[in-house]
Amino acid sequence: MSKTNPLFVDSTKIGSDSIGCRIELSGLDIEGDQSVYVKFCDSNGFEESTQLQQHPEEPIFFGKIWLNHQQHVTFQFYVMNHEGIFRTSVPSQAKATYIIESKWKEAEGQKELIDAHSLSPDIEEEKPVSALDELGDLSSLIDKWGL
Amino acid sequence: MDPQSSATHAIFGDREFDNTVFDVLINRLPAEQAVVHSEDFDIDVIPSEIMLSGVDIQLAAHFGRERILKKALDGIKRKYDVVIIDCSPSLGLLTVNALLASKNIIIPICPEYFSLKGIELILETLKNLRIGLGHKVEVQGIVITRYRNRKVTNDVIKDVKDTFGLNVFNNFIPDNISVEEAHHRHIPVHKYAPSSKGAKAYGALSKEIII
Repeated sequence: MSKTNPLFVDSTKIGSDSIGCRIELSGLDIEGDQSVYVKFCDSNGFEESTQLQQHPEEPIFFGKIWLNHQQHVTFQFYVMNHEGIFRTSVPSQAKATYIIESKWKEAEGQKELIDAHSLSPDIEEEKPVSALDELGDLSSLIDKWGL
Repeated sequence: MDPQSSATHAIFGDREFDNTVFDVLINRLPAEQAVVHSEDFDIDVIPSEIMLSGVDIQLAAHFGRERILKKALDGIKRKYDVVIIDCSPSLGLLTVNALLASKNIIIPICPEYFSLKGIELILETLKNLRIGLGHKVEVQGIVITRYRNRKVTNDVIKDVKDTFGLNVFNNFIPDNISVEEAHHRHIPVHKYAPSSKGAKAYGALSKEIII
């Protein structure tokens, strides 16, 4: 995952605030009887799946899911037909923002989905950047400088 | 939103103002109290000032720091057909405030190699804005300024269209001394030298943008 530029972090949200995250998946073609889903989970036990819709004008699938702002999440796309899951993508990681864009990358071998319990809890969290986080630092500086 | 205040100086010269966009951003002055009318240009302006250069630091800890301008303009935008926000060519909290207050952007460039890099950075910024702050801004088009009919110039314009797939406005602004002189005299070029190439080009460009 790349570093976060604090300019593009919503300062009105703190780490535990929920945001509606739009998921966009490109690079996948499906047949008429198939549906695309995405599953999100994190190392705290959060798991949620949602079905994606095909965009009427662009070659993408999209959907919306509620996530905790700036939290690290692992997600995986999968394709279902009437018999069940028959295609899965390689799991990806991201930080929860307003939009997560991803390109389909087919997983080889077993078609198993990620689950929260198998995720490593030791991901080094980058400190979320919000007004509330920074206030503490600035207050101490103002005290120090006597402003 | 440009601390260098070039647009403000071009319109008002060295006139000083009690209230500027700095007061709107930092002191939460209602935007209408900072509006100044220019008789020569027949437009309302919220002037800029050099104090803006420190705004990034002053706003760093503000809750909702990236939407201060948007909220300020929400109170007055219904009075106007078009609101133009002039930005500096750098990325910071001022530019993010301007972009979050906007639906469309127009990118003026001198057609040279480094402009292509600049456009790439602007597009990256718009993508980050959409992902991180949930706000979508469309590029309405690229304005070619200081145009000279040279091979390298035309190559750059072709690259802008082909590489980025962006709209380039058909009316290029030529490198024309009348435009500079009009700035210096603080009057619009269409009043200063109405038959100059610069004035005609800006007139045609305005029509192209509005239509």
